[in-house]
Amino acid sequence: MNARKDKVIRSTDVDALSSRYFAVKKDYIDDPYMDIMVDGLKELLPFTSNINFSISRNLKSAFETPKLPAINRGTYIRTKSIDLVVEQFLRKFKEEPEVQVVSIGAGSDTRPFKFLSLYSNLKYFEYDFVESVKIKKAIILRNKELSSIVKFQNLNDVEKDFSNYQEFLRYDENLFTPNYNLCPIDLRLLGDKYNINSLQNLNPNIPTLILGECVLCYMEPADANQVIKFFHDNLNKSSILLYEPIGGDDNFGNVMVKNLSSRGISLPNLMHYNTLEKQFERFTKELKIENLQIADMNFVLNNWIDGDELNRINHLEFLDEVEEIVLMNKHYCLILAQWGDLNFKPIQKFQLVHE
Amino acid sequence: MLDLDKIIDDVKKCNHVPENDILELCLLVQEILIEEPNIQLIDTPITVCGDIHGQLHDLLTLFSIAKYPPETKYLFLGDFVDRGFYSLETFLLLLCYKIRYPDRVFLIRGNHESRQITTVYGFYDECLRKYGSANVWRYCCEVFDYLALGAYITNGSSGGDGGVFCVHGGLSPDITSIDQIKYIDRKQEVPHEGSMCDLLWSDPEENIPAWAVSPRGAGFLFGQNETERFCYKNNLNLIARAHQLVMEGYKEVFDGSLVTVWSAPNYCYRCGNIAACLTIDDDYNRTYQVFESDDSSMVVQSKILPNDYFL
Repeated sequence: MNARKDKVIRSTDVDALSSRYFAVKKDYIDDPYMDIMVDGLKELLPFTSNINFSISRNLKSAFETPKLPAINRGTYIRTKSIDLVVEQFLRKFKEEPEVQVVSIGAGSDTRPFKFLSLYSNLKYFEYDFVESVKIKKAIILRNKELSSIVKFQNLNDVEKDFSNYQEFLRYDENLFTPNYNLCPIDLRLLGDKYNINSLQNLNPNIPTLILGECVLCYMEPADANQVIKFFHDNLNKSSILLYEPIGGDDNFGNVMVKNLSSRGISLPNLMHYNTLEKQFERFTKELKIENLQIADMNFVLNNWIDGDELNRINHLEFLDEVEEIVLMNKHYCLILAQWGDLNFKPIQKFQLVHE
Repeated sequence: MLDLDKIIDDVKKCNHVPENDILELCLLVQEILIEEPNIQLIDTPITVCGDIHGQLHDLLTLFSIAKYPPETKYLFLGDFVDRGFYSLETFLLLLCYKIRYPDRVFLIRGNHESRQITTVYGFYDECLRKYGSANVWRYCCEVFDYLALGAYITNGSSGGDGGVFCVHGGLSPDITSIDQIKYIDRKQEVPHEGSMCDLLWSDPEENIPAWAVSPRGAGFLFGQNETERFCYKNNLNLIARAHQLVMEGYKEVFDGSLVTVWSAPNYCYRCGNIAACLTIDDDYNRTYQVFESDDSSMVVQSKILPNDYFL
């Protein structure tokens, strides 16, 4: 495990958050918690290092340079499609006493606040690198609304946040509340350093949806598959929803690998599972998970979003990058796999289906 | 007096060109362009190039493959600027060649040669970054307004095969004959609708029965019927246009009656596509030359790439 490489992967959370930030600004998506998250990150991220100058500068530019329309649309369909699946999952199990969502590599995602305020039987779990977890915890604890959504009661008078590097290092890294569990987990060590009991409060016997947005793609194929296998082996009624880039069989993937490597980001899975078919075989043959649905983001955009909504999106801003967005969307996909006695059938259609 | 050779040399190396020289260059080229009709009449043989989008190094590759002007006669179908990092140098180089060889280099307007579009897609910001003010951008925009809207390529024989109609985007429901284009008052910012807008914005689409709304928010989609009708009425054997990224560099549709030519390899340093230019000889034979991006220039540039992926 390479600390510098991990830091670069953590930095992709700023990319994802800033993309959502501008998609919210342009009215593609609605997110009442966005500003809390962005303001918190801007203030706290510099304390996570003793050299904070470049962090502040990169952050400033990330949230000051608006995204091109094609990126906004891609961010829209990514966020919207995952929300649609989560919503259906929670609706299907709303009569159950408890249901779980586990977000791996959660970063600055605001989804827990949205869904925890809507579903009282929901327990939300977020796992990420320790630095990301500490920042998120501090952002939640200093904000009344978020604290109340996660039912935080400061019984033991814990430290709410940190205001320099020393305090950051000492800051406690876990947050366990009645409906929310935020802890540092190095996903690559699941099944090795961590067993199912290390994931505090996680109940292996109730309906669970695992979410991974652009997280497994940064791992070696064996590590990524170990993560899926760990949940498959340990949770009895569960589903996993992944949003991942796929290299494709054109030159797009090779260029992506080269471009991102100049930022120090490596994507070992991108060319390994470069098509929908290869992803399909990964699950059915390598991981032996039979119940599987996969679609690329063009298919999702064309089949999941109704005419009125599509019309609304098309009129938000002027778009000249029509062919580019089709090309981008072709190289990202949604994968929904499930096992155990879950019987989760979202109404949305997928391209490749196996039951 | 403007030293064109020195400017060409500087531009190729991406050296700074003084603001006053750019002003002078823009005024000179306007004098040439103002004399050109909306639809330029060009004799074969000619090499037709699609979008360049500020990818200067790839334009130099194109010239080294298809030969530098004046050895080869060129028609550029617009979209010289935006997206790439060297829009200004790309445009200046083409202007220099236009001034030096006005009968060997032809430039027509693309939808990105517009004040509104260049403020969104990079050219405005690039000028501001390189010159600290918007003056240079303003001079270039003045030139945009003088660019012709299309070209008609002919081998000079009367009747028979018909010529090649060239335009950046495509057809317009308001225009049935090429002659009608001659009456457009082109010296203006690209309008949001109407025939001038359509010529620069429209796209061909397979399997549509008639004119349709374009997802770009400007121009129209047109099918094989509209294309065949226009070719028949105007005695054309081909419509050559650019405007759309095609991964193979060029793409013929509608039984070969329309071609898209794309000349920006690895577009936006991200798309991984091949580029092409099309040479039409005296018998209207088509020869495509394809080329890839120069890798070494891409690696340098990608360090300043913004967030162009979903991470």
